[in-house]
Amino acid sequence: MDPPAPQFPVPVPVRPHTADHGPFTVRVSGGDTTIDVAWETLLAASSHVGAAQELAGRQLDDVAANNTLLLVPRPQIPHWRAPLLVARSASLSMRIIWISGLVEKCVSAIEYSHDKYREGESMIRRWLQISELISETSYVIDQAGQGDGRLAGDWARSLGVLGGQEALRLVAAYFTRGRSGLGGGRPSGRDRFEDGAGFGFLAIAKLQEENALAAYEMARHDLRLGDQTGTSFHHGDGTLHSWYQQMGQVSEEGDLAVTTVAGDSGETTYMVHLPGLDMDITDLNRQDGRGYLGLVDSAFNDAEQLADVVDEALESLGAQEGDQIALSGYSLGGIAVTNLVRNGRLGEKYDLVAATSIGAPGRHGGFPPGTQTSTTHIQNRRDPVPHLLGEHQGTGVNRQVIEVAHHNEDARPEDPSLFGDAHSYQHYLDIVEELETNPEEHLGEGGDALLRDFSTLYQGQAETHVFRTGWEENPDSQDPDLFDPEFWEATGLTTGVWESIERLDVLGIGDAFGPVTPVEDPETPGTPDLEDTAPPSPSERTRGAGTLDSGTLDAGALGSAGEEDGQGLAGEPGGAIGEESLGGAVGSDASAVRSQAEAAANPQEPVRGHRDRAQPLTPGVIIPTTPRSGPAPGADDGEPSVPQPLTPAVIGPPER
Amino acid sequence: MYSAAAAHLDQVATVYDEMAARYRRAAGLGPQQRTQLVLAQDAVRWESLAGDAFRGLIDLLMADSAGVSEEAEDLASEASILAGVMREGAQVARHLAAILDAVAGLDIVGISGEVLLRRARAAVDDVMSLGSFLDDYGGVPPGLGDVIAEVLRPPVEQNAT
Repeated sequence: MDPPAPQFPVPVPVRPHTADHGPFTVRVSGGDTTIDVAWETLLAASSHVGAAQELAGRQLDDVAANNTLLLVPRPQIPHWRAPLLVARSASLSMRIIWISGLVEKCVSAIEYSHDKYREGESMIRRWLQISELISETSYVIDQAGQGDGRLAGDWARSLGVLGGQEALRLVAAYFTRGRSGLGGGRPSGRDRFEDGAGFGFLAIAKLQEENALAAYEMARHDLRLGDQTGTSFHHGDGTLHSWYQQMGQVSEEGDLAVTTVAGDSGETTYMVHLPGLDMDITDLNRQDGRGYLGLVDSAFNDAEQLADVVDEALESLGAQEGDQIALSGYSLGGIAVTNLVRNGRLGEKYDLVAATSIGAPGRHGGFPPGTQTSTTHIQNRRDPVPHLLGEHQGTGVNRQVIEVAHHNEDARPEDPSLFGDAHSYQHYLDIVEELETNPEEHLGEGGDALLRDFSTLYQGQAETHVFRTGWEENPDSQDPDLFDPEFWEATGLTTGVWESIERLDVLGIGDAFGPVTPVEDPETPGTPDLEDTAPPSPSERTRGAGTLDSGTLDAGALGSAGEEDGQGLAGEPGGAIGEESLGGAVGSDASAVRSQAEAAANPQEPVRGHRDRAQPLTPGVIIPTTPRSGPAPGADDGEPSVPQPLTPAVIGPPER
Repeated sequence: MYSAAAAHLDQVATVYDEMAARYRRAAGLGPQQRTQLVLAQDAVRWESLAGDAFRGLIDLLMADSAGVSEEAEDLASEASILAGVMREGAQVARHLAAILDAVAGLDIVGISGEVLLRRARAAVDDVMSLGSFLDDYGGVPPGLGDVIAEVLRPPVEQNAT
């Protein structure tokens, strides 16, 4: 069985194919669509160009080595060819470097464009799924009204997980929009969120970004193939449904099953099944094959360790290089299957023909160029698990995602699951059965080709061997403990987390309280002469109320600032406080005065404000230079304190 | 007589030979490179502006790859020629050393003879001197031994007359 070879022009209609059939709705993405064929051929081509570039690199190594030799001064018989050789050799190396640079840029551009396309596609699919879930609201309410609360539970879980991240982004964007009118280019909170998220704004994100958790755990632990716990014989009928039905028992007996299917011509096909997570939250041990460490390996370590164990199990049953193998998995086993195809280790050794997963967390990103494995992911729209990692299943010419909305009102699962009925194995068996019963109706003409690539392997006499797996601590590991600061330092996590916090500008909350500057009436004598003013010390330029010396700035002074705002002071609380109230210590910020003078001299040039942004110099009102606690100017003669034009308060450059 | 210049030039010739081998190896990678480029071009067969641009880029790379191979081959030839030149120089130095061996112990009479011998000795020891010796005499003077013999003979003839 060969995966469908791209044909030109592509003979099938552009998918996704969507068919609405009451309670069983199907959406198919991927397969040999025009765009997927185009992308995959382009990526395959760019990998060939990359290989050519590698050869150019080797050429360059040789020429560059010669250039080095040519530059070594060594007495020799003068010959006109010698300097010419130096020049031509240098020119040749520059030519290779230039062309290599061009090629590298092109290859990167292709990969970048592809990533961006997939990101965009993923976002659209997320929103499409959210919209579809929202559109089901009335149906869910109806069902709930009729006493079917399970559907509502599934729906809410899925919507919560799927929409959670998007909602968080929206909320962040809404509440922290840059104050464009006043902000003058200040990065918005949304930008910061994106920045922060991109940098891994939380330790967990950082751990994931650096893949540090997986690196840490995998360096300290090894997955081992345990004993064979059972063998069963069955007859494959060539359907995916009967395959998954047979494999339903595996999770009870072990952690990994290998089924040998004898072909008509005597060859044996090895079909591997990986069940879902088996983690008792009351017993978070590190030994279970499908426990915490299994999750780390499968989801965050590209199933590298599992690949070795599967290989060992295959070898123990007589599999040899080049033999046909296939993979299937449910939930955690499903993402392991995806990553086993992705990491390419089994594919390099065996003929990895097909893979399927049901109810598995999504994993975007493509498979290595040239991967011919037919891969099908089946997921239920109301199952939250496929969205748990916040990623979408990637698609491609040989990679298809079948998303189904299905609810069986009559089903009464015995064991309630944390992830709801929509994630139950039985639920997926129903889905697979329906898909296989009416393939054209649900998947369109020929839409089940990739599914059949897998199911047809399960035909004839089959023998299933179930194995246990377990994690062992690696005694040779020298890595520091997770709780050891050295681990955080060595992996750069500490720096990363601080960078993230800085980028989020959480510490920039002090922006709300600018450094106190003198407010002088230009007419008032006594404005400090710039020439005579000493440059401010760093402490004088320190911004933020939190940094002010409490001995210098008393509560009354702060209070007066707030009241000044109430009188229409252009600025913000704390932006201008009477100089005398501060004893001149903070208020006589020379840099502020200098900035003020510079601004006056060159009105086009923005003045650096306390938020590190350009601030318009708007006329304000004068601020009494006497503390509130004392008599206001003019109070003695009974005249009210009249606001007067003021050169705006300018605040020194921020300490970043 | 040992010639340091000859030994040194032999080493330089070996370096040029190695360089020639490297240039040839670089040129030899060209066909493999072009095979990869042909595969890349074959993969993108769809018709669009992007497809055309990609194929255009591949054409450019193919032409460049051929050009690089050709240039590398040329440079390999140049390096081989230079290696040959250095070996010839080494041969001259060894020849001079042999001549100097032959005239060793004889009394040299006459300024020109002394100069010639001094320069020949320097040329045997030092590559730069060998170069200037070759420049001045156009290589090893044919029958340098005879010349030296001529240089040695005049005092006898002068005595005879």
